[in-house]
Amino acid sequence: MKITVDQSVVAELFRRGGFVALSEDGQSSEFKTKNATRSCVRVTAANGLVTFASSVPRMWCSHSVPVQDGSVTIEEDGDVCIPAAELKRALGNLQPSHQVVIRYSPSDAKLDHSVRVQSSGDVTIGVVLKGKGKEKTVETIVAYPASEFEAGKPIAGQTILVAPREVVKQAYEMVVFATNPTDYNGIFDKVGIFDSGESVSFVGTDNHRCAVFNVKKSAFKQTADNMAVLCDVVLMSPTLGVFNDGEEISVTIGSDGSHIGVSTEGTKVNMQTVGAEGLAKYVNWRKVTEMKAGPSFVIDRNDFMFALRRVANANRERCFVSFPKGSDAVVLRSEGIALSKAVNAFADCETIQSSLSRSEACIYVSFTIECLSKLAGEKVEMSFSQGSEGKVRITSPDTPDFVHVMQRLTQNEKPGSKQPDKAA
Amino acid sequence: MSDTPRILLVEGDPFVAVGKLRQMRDEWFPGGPPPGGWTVFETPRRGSFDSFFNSVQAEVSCPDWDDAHRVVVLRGVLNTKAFRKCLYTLFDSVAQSNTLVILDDDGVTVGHAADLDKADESDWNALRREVSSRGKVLNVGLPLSMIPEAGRVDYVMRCMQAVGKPVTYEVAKTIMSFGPPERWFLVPEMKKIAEACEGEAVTEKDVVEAIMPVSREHEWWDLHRAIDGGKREEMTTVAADLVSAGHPYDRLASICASRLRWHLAYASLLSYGAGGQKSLEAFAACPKAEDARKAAESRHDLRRALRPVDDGDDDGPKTRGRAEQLFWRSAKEIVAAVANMKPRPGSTLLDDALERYLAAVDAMFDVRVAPQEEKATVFQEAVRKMSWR
Repeated sequence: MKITVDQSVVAELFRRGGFVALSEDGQSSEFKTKNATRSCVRVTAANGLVTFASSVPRMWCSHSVPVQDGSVTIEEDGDVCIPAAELKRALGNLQPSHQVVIRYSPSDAKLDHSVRVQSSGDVTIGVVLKGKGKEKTVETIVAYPASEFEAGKPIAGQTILVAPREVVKQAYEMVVFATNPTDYNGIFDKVGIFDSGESVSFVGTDNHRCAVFNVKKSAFKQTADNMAVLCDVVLMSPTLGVFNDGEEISVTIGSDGSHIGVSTEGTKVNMQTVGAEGLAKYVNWRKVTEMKAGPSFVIDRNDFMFALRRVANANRERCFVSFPKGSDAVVLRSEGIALSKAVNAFADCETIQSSLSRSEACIYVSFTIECLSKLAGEKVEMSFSQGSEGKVRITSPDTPDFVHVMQRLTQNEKPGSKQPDKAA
Repeated sequence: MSDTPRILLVEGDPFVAVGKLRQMRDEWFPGGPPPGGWTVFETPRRGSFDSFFNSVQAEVSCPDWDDAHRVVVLRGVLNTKAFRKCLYTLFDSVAQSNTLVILDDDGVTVGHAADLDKADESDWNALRREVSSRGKVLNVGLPLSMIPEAGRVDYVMRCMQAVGKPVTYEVAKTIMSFGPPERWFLVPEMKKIAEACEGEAVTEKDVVEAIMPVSREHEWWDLHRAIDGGKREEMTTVAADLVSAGHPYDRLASICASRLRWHLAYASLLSYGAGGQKSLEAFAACPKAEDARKAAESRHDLRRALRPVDDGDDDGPKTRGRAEQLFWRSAKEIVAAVANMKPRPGSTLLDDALERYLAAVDAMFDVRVAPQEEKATVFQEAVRKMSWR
């Protein structure tokens, strides 16, 4: 195999086709020991295409570019696996005026003691100046047989979304904060994408809070009816990162529901997901976000965040919110359970709608701050559910498509009561 | 879930308590807890409790969206007033549909020892009294080996009194004479003795008659210990002793199968002739055997995650650092492996994995809280615990 590629093209090939090998799974010594090509980028030159691909058990990606006069040339077809970390170093610090020559001639297999597999010789990476044949640097890297590479299966299923990348990314980022990426049950570390009639709903939840962002279907080029899919945030976040704004990406769900594909014309990413089994365990977010609004207030977002950050000094988990009668301010009060320090903060409200003479609720402080940080407008509205429902809803007039609902926390049964005395 | 207490204190021998907790989890959540239904917090032994208790409080005071039952387990109770004060505050904020389970790791030992030495009510009893008034205290028993030797007879008398059958000092001594102290989980055993004895007072004869079946039951514990040790020779000897002592084959096979040691059991049972053949037949007929076999075959991933780690051999701090790194990583992998398990009804794989997970948590905990000079020894012990048995 011998290919010559412009620096800008090879950088893009590596960024899009090698990011899986550079991920934590790809660089895990456990996976490497099992199969050395897990941490490699497979470079393929065939049928007029140069392709970089990498794979781990949960994810697979590839990016191809066709042969172009001057910038991408294939002198000899072939394929080889190159360790991603070494390839990254070899492709680093290059200038736009450089071209990279990747050459590989299979030789006798030899045992690589570091990863306990047979390597298949060496690959040389030469750097030349455009238009000049003489190589300025030549680097040799160990190569592994491409036959060992476990490429992901192409997704055969239904395309559920086609949209510019920025539309999907913005909606995804509005809700991803509400997920729990370390959820060991593998349910709440996922962002859900659901059909909601006129719009597509992106949902993030960790079972204590739920953020929903609705995007009108008109913003998408194509949508599927009744779609319901969960995307692992650990896999989806880097995937959305490799595409550029303006690119049109397609999201496809495999026919068995266990894989999702995100692709553009040259780039394909497949990732695992939980199918119907995971969806069955997912929070009924439509029911969760519905509530009968009771007391509410509209408040300046920055002012409210300032007050919340002050009470977080005493307890970053929870604080009491109250609306004293006749006042136009909301009072926040928090107490640390161990150190017993307390902080009170007052935030002036634009409007307070409270049917109660003195209503009080207990809310998550850190969750509220995270939610307010996501919103861009000046005003936010916070409303508390009526009756036995224990919910708190945050919305913003400037971001009408966003809604965030969290559980109201149980208040202390005996606030300020004395601790039981030690019996004599 | 109306019969589930909002606060539950599990006291007694930590290993038995963990088993009891697992049993309760299966009762409360048949088929495994739903996502978010079972959360475990581990008490930090250093630094301020502020953020820790704040997090626990937020978790226990947060009900489920549908008011479904949620359990928050707090492992470890420190024998300090500050800690207990925080616990009392925590009790005030448990949501109606939630349960706060406090699993004591070592506070009970301190508490009981204090009870024996002091006439006053100990701090531990104050905590127990507080929990009793708001929820439930579950005592899973305490082996005599955890009681100071001088106070053991006194403790037996107290336990018998607690179960409604007061005994004399002499009878208490007789009870103690059965079996080594580490075998005695007093409260459950005392209850059995009390049930077996007729009449108000308990005589020495009553005790001997009542205690024999209990004592005989303890012989099975040798098998459990041998299985835990993973030594085939020891297991073979114990299994042979049990069979020759007239214990039923099917129970032997059932225990082997349920502990996922079917291959060891097979080898062991083979090694003692005609009795072995009978045991094998019983083993094959055991409903859990097939499950155990499948589980053993499919546990490859878990086993890889739990592979023994390099213990460093004490050849310098650098190597030990590396070993420690591997140790923590393995612990994380156990957690991930347990999370990936798909529980099947009747399968013991998840139980075993959970047991490993809890052991790993224990091991991590031990290393973290050990005094600096004992860290190396505790670490070696933790690595031993972590390796696949």
